[in-house]
Amino acid sequence: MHTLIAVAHPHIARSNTQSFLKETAALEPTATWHELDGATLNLAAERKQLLASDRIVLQFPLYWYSAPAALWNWLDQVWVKNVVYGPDDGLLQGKSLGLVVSYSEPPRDYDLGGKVGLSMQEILRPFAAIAKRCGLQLLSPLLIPQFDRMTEQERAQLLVAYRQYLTLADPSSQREQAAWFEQQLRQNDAELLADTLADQQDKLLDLRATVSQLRAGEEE
Amino acid sequence: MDESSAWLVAEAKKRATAADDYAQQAFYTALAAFCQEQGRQIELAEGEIDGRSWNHEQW
Repeated sequence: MHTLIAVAHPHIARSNTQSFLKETAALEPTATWHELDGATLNLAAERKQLLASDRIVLQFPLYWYSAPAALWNWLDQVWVKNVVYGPDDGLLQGKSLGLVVSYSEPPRDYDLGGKVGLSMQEILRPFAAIAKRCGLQLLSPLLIPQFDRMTEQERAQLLVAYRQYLTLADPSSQREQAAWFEQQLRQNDAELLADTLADQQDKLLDLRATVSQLRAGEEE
Repeated sequence: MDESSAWLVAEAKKRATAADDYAQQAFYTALAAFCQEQGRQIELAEGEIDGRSWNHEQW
């Protein structure tokens, strides 16, 4: 799967979050890091790159409860009629859309009744409409609140979550995550760890199947 | 948590500490957290099976 990461950040050189994500993305050979700096776009090249991708990730810090202008500029110019959508259908069917959104407030500020007054789901809703219009499958967003306050443990988990977000068909699937860890362990020649992890995953899936049968039996 | 999950978590933590490369350290740290949660899910499922299989009429 080839993933295009479209990054919009007005001060990208000063961003610890984007620097961390850029180094992480470099671990994935099938991902392309593409910075949108607001400069004049080569539309033919941009569209070719877009259409050659299986997943498009829009990555940005929240700016005035939306994405920075460079992202909208790119969408306005590149994502146009007869490129990403036609009169009836989206033209990006079979591809997926991811959102990687960083922000500086604690997550509770974006709860209903929180300080901001808007939930993150509401803020990101236009992207759900864009995905629908273009025929893209929308992934659950990867939200990164307060990167500079994260513990080492949280950053480690973010690093892995981001790698999975760029490469897994369904990054939120526990089953796919287990398979990803197993594959990485085998690449590191950690066979015993990989085998044990796989055995535990099989055990979990068997147990869940039994639970489902028992639940179904009680409903009869 | 069962013995296998406990071993996975301990081994992943050990490798995270020993890693000399940040990406590897992060990988094993995240693996430990994943295996911890996998072990918890196994425990939950086993508990649910015990609970649902219990039949007071067989006492």
